Amino acid sequence: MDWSVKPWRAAGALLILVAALSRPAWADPPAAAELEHSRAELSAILERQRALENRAIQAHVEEEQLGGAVQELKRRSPLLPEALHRLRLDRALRQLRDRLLELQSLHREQQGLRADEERIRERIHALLRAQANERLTEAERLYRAGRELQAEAAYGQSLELMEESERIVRPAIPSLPPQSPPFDPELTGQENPAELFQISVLLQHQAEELVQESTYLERIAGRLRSDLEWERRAARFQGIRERGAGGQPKPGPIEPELVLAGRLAEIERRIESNDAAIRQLRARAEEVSRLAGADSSTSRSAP
Amino acid sequence: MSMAALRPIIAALAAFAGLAACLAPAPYRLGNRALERGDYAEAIRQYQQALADDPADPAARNNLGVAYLRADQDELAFQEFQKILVRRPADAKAQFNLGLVYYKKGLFDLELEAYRKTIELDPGHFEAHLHLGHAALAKGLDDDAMQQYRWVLDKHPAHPSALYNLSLLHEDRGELREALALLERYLKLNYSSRWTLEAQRRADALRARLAASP
Repeated sequence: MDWSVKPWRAAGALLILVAALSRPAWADPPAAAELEHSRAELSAILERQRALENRAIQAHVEEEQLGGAVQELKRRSPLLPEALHRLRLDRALRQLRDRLLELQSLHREQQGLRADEERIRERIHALLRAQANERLTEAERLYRAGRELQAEAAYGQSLELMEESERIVRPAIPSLPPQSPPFDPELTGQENPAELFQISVLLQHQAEELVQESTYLERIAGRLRSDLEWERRAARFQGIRERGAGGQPKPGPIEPELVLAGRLAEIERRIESNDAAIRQLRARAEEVSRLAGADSSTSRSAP
Repeated sequence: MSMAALRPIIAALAAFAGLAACLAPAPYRLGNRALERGDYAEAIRQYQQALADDPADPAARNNLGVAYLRADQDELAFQEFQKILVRRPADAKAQFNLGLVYYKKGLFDLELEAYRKTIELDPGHFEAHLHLGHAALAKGLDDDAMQQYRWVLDKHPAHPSALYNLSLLHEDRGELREALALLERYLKLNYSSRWTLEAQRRADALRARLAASP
């Protein structure tokens, strides 16, 4: 074989060899490959989420700075000629809208990634459970064959896989990102219908984004409520915590009640505040849209 | 002393040694005693010895699993209970203990399943009914929990946690008379625990609510 001519073949063979060696010896190749693939997908999603989060933080800072600049420009300096002032204001507004559009697109991608993450976690959960059962069956076979040490190793792997399958669908709840107030530009009265229409769409998009965020927050709140309910039941009823051998109370598998209640209250406050902002943004969008309609009919009727 | 004279003494000593060996507690019994006094390391050592003598002894293997569980060596406990089930798939005790391992590992769905299988194998398994009641309650499956607590009270009318929990479940459904009747049975037990004061407070509140209702 001429390795010097096709080095990529050698590299490919090496990669396959490394992948085969890094996989547990017991793993069923197709199932293990699917699990590996799903894990790689999850890890890529988490990495992308981190990158998006960082970009969104940066874009929020830029949005705030541009918002301040627009407000500043609206208080027109008498020393600045009208045309120059208008040019600067237009440029600042365009930059601000670009930033807001970028933020919207980042949020949309984040929402999509969250949905993908949940779907992949469920898939990994099912694959891990199937592998746990497969390991259990293998352990039984080995034990029957008198290969006790190997059977014990397989039992251990089976239990580990069961635990991992639970952990994968109960990821740590992320802390809430800082909330920036929605962008609601003050109208100068000089906007043309196209600009007013753009602003109206912008306001509607912001409302839609908040609706999506609230849907995601509701899902987190649902999980927190269920954990909290477990804690409250464990405190209220007898025997829930004492089920382990020996009858000694064991700490709950989840966070203490106070921590859970605090996090839930924080999320519920955010959902409430989102609801208020959504109502306000939709009302403003409608108002600006009416103005755009009125302006455009005025301009159409103008000679 | 001649060899002939020593022979009866040697024979007597050998007989005594044999008798002593027969009378000495077997590792299994020593393991049980260690388990009762909470010396789990010693219990594990004795049960392992018992299994070295007879690897197919299900009682020694089960208790070895229990000792591991109490010593928080849950993975090893899991192995022992599973090994019993390979040879004796209908062993309700091992199936129940597997449920306890799942509980400690936070695998609550598997825990519920293990208790249900235990009851299928042995419908009279008292602990399985009681634990299934607790596990169902923790998961918010109140109807299932009530059914199990009723079964427990049918067999053991003075079972404190079944009385207390069933009373609360009735109260949650607005069935105040049933709730109070169960709570009064609980209080009559004079069971001293951190729950007694709470039970007294709840009983007073229930009486007041019943007196106020038309």
